[in-house]
Amino acid sequence: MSNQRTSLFAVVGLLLALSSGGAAPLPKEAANEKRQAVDRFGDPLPEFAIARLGTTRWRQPLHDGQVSMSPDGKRIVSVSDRATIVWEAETGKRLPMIPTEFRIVAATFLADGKTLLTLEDPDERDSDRKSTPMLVRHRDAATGIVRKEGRISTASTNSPFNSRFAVDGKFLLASGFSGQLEVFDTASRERLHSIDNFGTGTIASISDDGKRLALADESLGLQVHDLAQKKRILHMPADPGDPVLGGYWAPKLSPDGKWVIALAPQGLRVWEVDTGKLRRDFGNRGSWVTYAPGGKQFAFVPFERVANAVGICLCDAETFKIVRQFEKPETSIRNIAFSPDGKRILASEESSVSVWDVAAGKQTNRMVSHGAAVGAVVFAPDGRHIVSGSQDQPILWDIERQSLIRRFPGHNLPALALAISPDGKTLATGEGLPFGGSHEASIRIWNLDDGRLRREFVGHLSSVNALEFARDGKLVSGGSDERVCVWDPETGKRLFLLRPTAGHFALAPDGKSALVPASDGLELRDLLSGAIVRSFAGLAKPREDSRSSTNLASFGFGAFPYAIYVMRERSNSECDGTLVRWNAATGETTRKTSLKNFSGHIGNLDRSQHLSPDGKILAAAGRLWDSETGMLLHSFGYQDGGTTTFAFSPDGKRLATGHNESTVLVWDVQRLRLAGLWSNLSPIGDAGKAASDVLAASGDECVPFLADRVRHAARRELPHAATIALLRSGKQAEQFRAIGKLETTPASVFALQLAEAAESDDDVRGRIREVVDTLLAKSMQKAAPWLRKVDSNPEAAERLRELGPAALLVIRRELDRPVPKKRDGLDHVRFRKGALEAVEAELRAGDLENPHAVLQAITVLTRIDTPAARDVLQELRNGPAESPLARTAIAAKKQVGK
Amino acid sequence: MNAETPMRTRGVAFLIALSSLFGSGTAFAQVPRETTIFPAEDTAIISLAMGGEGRWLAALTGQSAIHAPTVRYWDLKTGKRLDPPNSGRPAANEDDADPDARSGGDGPLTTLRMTDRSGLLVFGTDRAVKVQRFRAAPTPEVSNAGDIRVRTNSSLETQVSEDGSRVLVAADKIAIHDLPDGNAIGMIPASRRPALVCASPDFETIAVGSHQDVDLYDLPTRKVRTSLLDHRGAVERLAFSADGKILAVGSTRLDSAYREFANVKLWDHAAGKEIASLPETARTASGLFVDAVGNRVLMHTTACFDRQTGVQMIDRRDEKWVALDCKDAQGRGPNCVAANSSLTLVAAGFADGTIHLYEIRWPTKR
Repeated sequence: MSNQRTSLFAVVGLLLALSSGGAAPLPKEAANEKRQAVDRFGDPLPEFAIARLGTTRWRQPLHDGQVSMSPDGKRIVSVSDRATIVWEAETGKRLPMIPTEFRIVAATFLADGKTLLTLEDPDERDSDRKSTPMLVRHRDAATGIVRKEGRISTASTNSPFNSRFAVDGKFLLASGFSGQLEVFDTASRERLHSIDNFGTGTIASISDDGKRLALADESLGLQVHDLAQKKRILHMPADPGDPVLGGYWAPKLSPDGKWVIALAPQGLRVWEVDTGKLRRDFGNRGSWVTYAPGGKQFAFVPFERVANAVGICLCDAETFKIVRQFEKPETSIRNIAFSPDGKRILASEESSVSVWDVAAGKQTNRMVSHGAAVGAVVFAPDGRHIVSGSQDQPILWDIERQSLIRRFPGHNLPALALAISPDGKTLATGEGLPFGGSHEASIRIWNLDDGRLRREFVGHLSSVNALEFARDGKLVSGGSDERVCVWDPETGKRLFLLRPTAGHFALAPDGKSALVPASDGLELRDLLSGAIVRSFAGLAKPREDSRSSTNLASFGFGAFPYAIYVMRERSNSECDGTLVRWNAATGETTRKTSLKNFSGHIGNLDRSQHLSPDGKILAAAGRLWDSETGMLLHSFGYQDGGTTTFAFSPDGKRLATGHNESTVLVWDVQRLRLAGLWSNLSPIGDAGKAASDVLAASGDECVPFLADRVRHAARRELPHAATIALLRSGKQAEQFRAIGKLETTPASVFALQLAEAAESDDDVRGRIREVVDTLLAKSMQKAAPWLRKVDSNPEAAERLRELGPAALLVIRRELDRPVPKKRDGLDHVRFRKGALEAVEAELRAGDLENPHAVLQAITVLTRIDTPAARDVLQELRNGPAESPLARTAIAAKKQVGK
Repeated sequence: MNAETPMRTRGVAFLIALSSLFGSGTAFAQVPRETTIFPAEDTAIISLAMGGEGRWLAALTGQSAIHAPTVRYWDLKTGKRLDPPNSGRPAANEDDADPDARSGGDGPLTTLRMTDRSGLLVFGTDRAVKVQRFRAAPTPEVSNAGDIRVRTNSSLETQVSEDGSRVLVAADKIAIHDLPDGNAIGMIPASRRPALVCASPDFETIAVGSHQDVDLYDLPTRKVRTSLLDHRGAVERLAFSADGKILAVGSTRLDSAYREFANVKLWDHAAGKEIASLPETARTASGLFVDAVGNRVLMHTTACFDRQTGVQMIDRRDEKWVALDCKDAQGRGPNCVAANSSLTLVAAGFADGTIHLYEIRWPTKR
């Protein structure tokens, strides 16, 4: 395994060298392709990822935006408040993002086939003026490049987030928080109409001729306006007695403006606009009515009681009879649109875009993947298989092949509590809804091998939050009904009940006891008697509101018997994290570590495994921390669709993350960790030192990585700090290669000098000293010729200044040397004058990044000891506050501390 | 479904008009809408309370419990409405310095509870429990009998003991106060949804519901005496019989297709023994009443999704629930229900502002 990794590194390193070396003749794209690992569909994986389970094709992280297809059928665009995504319609491959510096509020393809029309928010709000300027941009449909743009001014006091283009981009219906609905002509950018006192954020609809406008609201009810005559021609008042379901919603006018379809309190209904007569009652709730091109048919999405998916209904626009109901989608549909040829329907689902064949009523782009955000992942004991849970069925994956092995169908609700028995033969799944509710939630027991359902029983009265198998095969479950139960999975019999608890637990590795939240911390409870084995008080605070007991967000066991971790809510959405090391043998709590920069939200139903098996890494809130020092190692960015859940493989070498864009990514933990430590490296400060220490302590494994990094590092990446780590690790050959790469910046020399001073190991200290000397010699070579000419050559001072802070070191060395008898006094004075010029210029520039360098400069000034130098020092010490010199000195003093 | 069959047609019980009370000749007695005082849409009946002997009736009216609610009172013996204390503003605050009071006392009022024996009505406002006293002679009237100030961020629920000496206040914590002083005399170390708290008539036992379980706290020791476990579904309503021996627990089971089923179990709570598990019926139990000896149960039901409401009744020796034919002019079911302790007098409040009063004649076959 380690050979394999080393060779992998070598390959990556080689490719890095090829691609980063400017002379390499490879075309850029080819290099990128080779460099990046790919998933089963050929899509690139992020750095450090080794597998993607599922696909990014047709996927959008937590989207529910509008979708539309270009007239040539080649592209699909989806807009939501998170991002605007463009896909290749043929393959579902994501195309590059639309190049914009602003947020796109609405987008649609124009009928000419060449233009993508966008509404963008330039964020130029003026708090005094009650309007918001917006940009209407005509972009090239293929490249996204702006062809022309114009401004409109909406009455919204904030971004008119609910704006939509209508009638093939002819009109813009803009609404936001202002309570106004405005109709703009897109071509002339003129405001055609404005309707006041209109509810915020409700979707309106306009007839093709632009003469009729329908709008609806919870309190105003349904209204249709004749825009030409400026009068209301239809009004269905809302039921004031029922503020929740008494209103009307999402009206749709037929293209000729004759009919209006809207969600009424009683369900989806159709009225004739002129007479107000009810034409059709669909007898069920539904929405997202959209007309086919030509207006002969329309489609809508019926609702069901639960979040369960229901198929799209296709209706005849004259008879209002349902012509066809499409097959059930994988997840619930949030928005639909016809393709320009009318043969397909695009549906925006929670995390994907589905394409439906209108004639067949079937989805044509179903992928071997989840259809919604992945909310749970669990490793099989072999470390090669993963089961993931989402709104749809749980899936068993093979990591090596990045392939789907089996789905586990049957749960009515999302099954997001997952557990695999220690022998790897049994899978337990527990269902629930993320927003709770007192429904019966079942637990199912499956054969992992053949997918056979062995048993099903009602586990909890509300969502099953967590499932774990104990070593003896018993199943432990925690539910939102505040119970922790122990089950015999073979019979479904409940063996033990612990209540009330917060419904979350962490099974101790011995399987006999479990950590559960208590009033001010955690308790370890025996799972046969319920007795308190040990109490960890003071780890959490009781909460203000009465429903939840403490501010505990998450907790769990690390490597038994010595670590538990606790994450607490600090404020509304932020958490802090603490790791408690606890010796189970003696019962002593030995050490607590706080996680640095820990802020982020941990959901109440967080089903992650947070601590790696070796206890070195803590994963939470989309990030990884080093558990020893609390430093941040990695942040899973939004480009991966946001991370929802974590699981470490049993050997700790792999990390699986569930993503909102409905995929699971499997990562190389060691490389993630090293890269994280690398990013923390710094020549100064405790964190940098700590990172260096941890890297050095990582042993052989980190050497190839560090060497690779040092070789390819940009100057800003502080290779000297890595060098220190290398020096500590004692790998001679690597050290020298690394040193060869080192820049002779004073920062690196200072860092090394500091490290030298702080180093306790004589041997290492000696090695650092060697490196320092080498670097200084290099600097001297560069600086010395100019130093000697400062008085005669006007260029010399300039060159020294260019040399930057490095010159300081050389000057200091020069000053430290005893004045040679031969050198006459005049020369020495001149040298001092030149040196002073260089130092002062450096200080006055005020951009010394390293406070140590400033102090160094001060030392130099002291040694120069001419009246001019004393003046400068005086200014440094007491100078007026506005003096840049004084400011630099103060800042430096503050940073250094003493 | 058989449970929907109106009682009248089945002949086991029937409704009579209480025309003598209100002088109306219709099938049910109706308290007229207070159109002179409130705009029409503000008069929905949100909550009702009736004493155990059916002597007094109190109603919370308004658009919602949060928006400008008002309490109204009737003497059921005469059918006359009583004047509220402080001429017209019975609600939340008398404190003139209080901005809420100046703006008309917009503050949430919570469920009304009253007893006939003590003649006391209690209800919670956003920061105090109001206690009001009813007097029949010489002239029927309502007077303020004191406030219990409570510091809380959550909604407040309250209940008064039959003898009028104690008040239960459930906010962030559950506390028992004495009357007339209002001092806290006991605290239950549980914090649960207020609606799931119910004190026995003697106030010695406090039942607290949590998910599918009910914990019975002994007030003197403040400890859990018994836990009644594994109800079918989430516990929604608790009701003690007037003799204090029987606890009725109404729970709602939602299956994973989100269909609702109401379940009622009757417990001998002292022994921790289940006496009866009543047949499961559709919908959610949003109000529960049990007669004095724990044989008869009346339930106000709500369907979460279509919001249809109804009233169902059962004698625990029967096999089926029977529905009370109980709708307003628009055909909607009642918002809220109150009953006397023998379940022979039932008041139902509607969204259109009317209150219907029914006299129930239970069969006497046993």
